[in-house]
Amino acid sequence: MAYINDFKDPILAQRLLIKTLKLENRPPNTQNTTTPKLENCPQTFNIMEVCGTHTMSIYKHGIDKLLPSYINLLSGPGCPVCVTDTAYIDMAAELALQDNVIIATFGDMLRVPGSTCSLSDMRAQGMHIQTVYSPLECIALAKDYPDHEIVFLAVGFETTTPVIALTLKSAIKESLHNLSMLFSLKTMPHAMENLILDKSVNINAFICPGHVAAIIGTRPFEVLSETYQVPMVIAGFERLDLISAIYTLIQMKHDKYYGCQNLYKRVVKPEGSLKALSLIAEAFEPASSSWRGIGTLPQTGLTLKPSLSHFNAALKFNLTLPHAKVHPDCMCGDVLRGLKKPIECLLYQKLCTPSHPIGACMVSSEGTCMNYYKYNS
Amino acid sequence: MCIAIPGKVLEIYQGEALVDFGKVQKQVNTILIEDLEINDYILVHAGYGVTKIDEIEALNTLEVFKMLCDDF
Ligand code: SF4
Repeated sequence: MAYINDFKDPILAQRLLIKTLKLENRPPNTQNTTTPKLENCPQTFNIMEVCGTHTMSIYKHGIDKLLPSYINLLSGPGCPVCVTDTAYIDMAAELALQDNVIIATFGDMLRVPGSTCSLSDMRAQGMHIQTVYSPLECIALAKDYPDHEIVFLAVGFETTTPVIALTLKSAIKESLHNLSMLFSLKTMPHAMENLILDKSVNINAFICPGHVAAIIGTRPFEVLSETYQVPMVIAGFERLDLISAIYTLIQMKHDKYYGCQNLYKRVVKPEGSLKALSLIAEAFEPASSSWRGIGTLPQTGLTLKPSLSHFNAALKFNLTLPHAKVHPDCMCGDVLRGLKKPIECLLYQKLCTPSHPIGACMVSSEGTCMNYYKYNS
Repeated sequence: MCIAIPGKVLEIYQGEALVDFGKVQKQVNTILIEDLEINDYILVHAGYGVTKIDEIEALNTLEVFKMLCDDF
């Protein structure tokens, strides 16, 4: 495990952090003429990370508190649980009420509030809701309960989609007719593009999601960086990974250039995972997707290919999109876009806490509000 | 839920492997990983192996990080 633990090395991380803090005093290196130059470089520098695991790691290691005040770390919509729309939970709750339906879900989804209740509340009332570690477990569930319909709550980004596609493939191979899924799959590049184009947010640089990049490769992020002249790094999740990511971005700001650097080459190949990509393309096609507190964004989700529509639980059970009720003071949408810090939400720590979440960002261990609560309170 | 964790491959079966995560061992789907060998480190998410962790690249990256620190 030697080289894996090396990325946690606190001494090296500390030295790199000190170097990061000294960067501002160094004269800019403008000798390099081959790198594309940033035209506008603001004084304050807003760096957004768009992966829940990055959010968790930054708060856990207190990295946000160690940086100079002109560096502002923002957490974006990178946690799949946090971006799940209230209407989606309401639809899952409606399914849970049907006779002979077993809901299978990742554990984190249980406590996400719907309009009137969460799935955890429904489980307490006796509805059959089963947590799974992997969607592949649904195959055994469908065989164990042949008289029931297993409905998997298929949420996630590009990292999770391949194993969902694998599950569908397996269900076809085993001729299972009692497995379907409620889909809310999301994709990252167009969501990032939306954030860049949203001028109220003002993001100056991105720490790109390392495990999404492991699937889709480096190119989509390079294209975004080139198109919008935004410095980006693809980073791993240990403290050394994150500090070096921030160091690299500050260096890019300091020397006024942009581009997308891959600092996670041990996992991310330029082409990504071709096998995973072809598996995704076999089952899904691009679609718009609804993001909690943000709204529907084109090209930020995936929908089943028409030939597989029998796996779509919304069609199978004839569900219509409910009109969801959200607490009027909930600021999850603003927190997810980096516009507001959790502490600016009126509900934070008063009505909304990890034991009684009002918004989804307070539920998952990767949620911004949850991490803020855990490490700042 | 998007966490992916590294583990060491202990045994290989058809399309699956037994992976050691330090405290627990788990069987994971490895269909997406090519040329898997015992003792490889792989990244696992939601019950499937996402990719192998490239030792040479890991060591190269560590070298780069160390050089950054040395060059004060
Ligand atoms: S404190 Fe609660 S309601 Fe407010 S933004 Fe965070 S999760 Fe949403």
